Amino acid sequence: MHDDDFVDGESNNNKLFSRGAAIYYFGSLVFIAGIALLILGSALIMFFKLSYTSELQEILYTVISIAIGIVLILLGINLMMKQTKKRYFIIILSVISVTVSMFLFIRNYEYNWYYPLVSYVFGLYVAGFLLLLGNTFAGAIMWIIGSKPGFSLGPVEDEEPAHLYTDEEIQRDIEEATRKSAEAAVAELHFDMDEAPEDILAVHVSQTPKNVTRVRDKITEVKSLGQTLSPGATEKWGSVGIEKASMALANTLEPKKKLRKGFFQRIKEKYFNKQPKKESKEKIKNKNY
Amino acid sequence: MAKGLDIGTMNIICAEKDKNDIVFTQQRNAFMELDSNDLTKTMLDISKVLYIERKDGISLLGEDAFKFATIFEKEARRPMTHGIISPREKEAIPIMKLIVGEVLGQPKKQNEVLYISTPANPIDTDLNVLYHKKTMEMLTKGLKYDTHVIDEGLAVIYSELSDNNFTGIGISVGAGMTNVTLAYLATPLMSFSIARGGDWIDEQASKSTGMPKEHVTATKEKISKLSKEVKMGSVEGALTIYYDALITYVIKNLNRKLAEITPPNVAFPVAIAGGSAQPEGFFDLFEKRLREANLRVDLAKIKHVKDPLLSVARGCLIAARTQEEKGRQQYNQTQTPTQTQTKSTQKKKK
Repeated sequence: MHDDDFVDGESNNNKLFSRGAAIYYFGSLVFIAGIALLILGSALIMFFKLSYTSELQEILYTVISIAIGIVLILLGINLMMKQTKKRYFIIILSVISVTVSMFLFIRNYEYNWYYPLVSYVFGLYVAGFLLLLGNTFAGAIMWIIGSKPGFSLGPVEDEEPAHLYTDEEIQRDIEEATRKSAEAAVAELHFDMDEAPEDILAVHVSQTPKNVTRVRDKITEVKSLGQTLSPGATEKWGSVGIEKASMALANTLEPKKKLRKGFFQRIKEKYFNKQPKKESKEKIKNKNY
Repeated sequence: MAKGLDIGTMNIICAEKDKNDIVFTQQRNAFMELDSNDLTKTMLDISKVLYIERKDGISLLGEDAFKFATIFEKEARRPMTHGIISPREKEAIPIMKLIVGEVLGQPKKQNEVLYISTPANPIDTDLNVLYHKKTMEMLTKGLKYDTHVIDEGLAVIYSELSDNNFTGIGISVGAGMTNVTLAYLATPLMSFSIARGGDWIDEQASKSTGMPKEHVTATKEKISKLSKEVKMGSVEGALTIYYDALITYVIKNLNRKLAEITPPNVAFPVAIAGGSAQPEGFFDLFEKRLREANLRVDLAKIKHVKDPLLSVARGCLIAARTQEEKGRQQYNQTQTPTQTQTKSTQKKKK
């Protein structure tokens, strides 16, 4: 195996020809054409009922279809794979070899098809075929054993990890880590607040009128907040506390229910609401008529 | 005795219990500098205002700074901006220390429990509130209080949503920021803030109408109702537009943040408080926009807060009293076994 067969990402990119989507689609077309020719050749065998006694032209068409079909299949597969410079050279060499052999076969089959020409033509074709086959095999093996796949299943794109993190997720993670770090730093921080600034000479606060508001409020929320934050903890006789906490939880979990309107509220809405009254169905009907 | 302190960009409000009442002490979070001379000092002493004498002049503090700013046609400076200590004001911390000390007073006992409100981390700016939180905590600890910190949005929930077992969405529309918290059984599931509030409305309205910002702020605080029918070119019209824009912005961000969590499948009530939520019509507008928004959670009622300005301080006081109660119970629990032990030993001796 050559050094350039296993290369790291960067050098690999340098050594590889730039491959676009076009070459992949071209390879697919070549592959399909090869399949079509192979099917055609197989069909011709059955159509002509090929045997030793068959017409020369029948044998010629059938052999050409099958021989070119097989080579095109291998060529198509090779074109769909990532290739190095050397492998492209091998492909070109094998294509030339097969083309020359097929040209000689077509030109000489009917009238000059004798040995040693047959050996030369057959040898050229087999050499080209084996080169392509070997190249395909090498590519497939590299794809299997290499960590970097050499088998391109589509237009070449950047490899991506299995789990994709969005920019927002990454940003959030960074912010979270920064926040935790800053919080830890702040917790350790100690301010020296005892000393007054040197430039303050005197503070006049004694007779400052304050804006004071006095509101009658027993703040009963204190008890319920304590109960909610630590349910059951404030009650010495246990079950009562648990019941209270359960009731609190049940009230919260209770689905949204319509508030029951009081008697005065209903009277207010009925007689003093400024919104236009809903028209009765009969009135609407009359209007429509 | 426990206290709650709402440290806002515009106001610093202390709440404390006095028999069957809650007493709210309020002071503007602002200061203004004047040249020092005997005449000025005499005038200030007669007026009984809060001020400090410096080597290079006089600084008026609190509400008076605002009043005198109007008289002298100067701009009152603010120790806080966008909900946190202003990095542009060098004297922010000593000024705030004085105002906070003035509002809070001395603790009535050693390690009196104090809950202070702080903003949650903003989502639309790269401001970080950690330093502000720590500074405020240390500043009040320096006054010998046992200080705890609570999100503004959670304080609103504690204050307004007790009927719903402290489950719901608490929104505090302050001057510098708008804070939002979603809590379930008093436990916050999501908290964030937006670096837009009353000041943003003032700025936008000021730019639109060409009026000075102080004038816009004064109009906003006097405005009786957010109305769509206003005089052409009036500040009221601009204020209505930007209130609407702020509400929409808050709701959009709330919906965006709700997508990041999986809240329990319950209907959440909403309570909206804060100094900038005071104009009449604000709640109706907010409710309308909330219902239109198709939030990712089911909404129950939208609670009309009775006194939006004092709600956060009240929530802090509730948290402080609860903490105090909890401490008292823990103390009693530790004391009771010791007392029984002493009684039994006394009996044995007899």
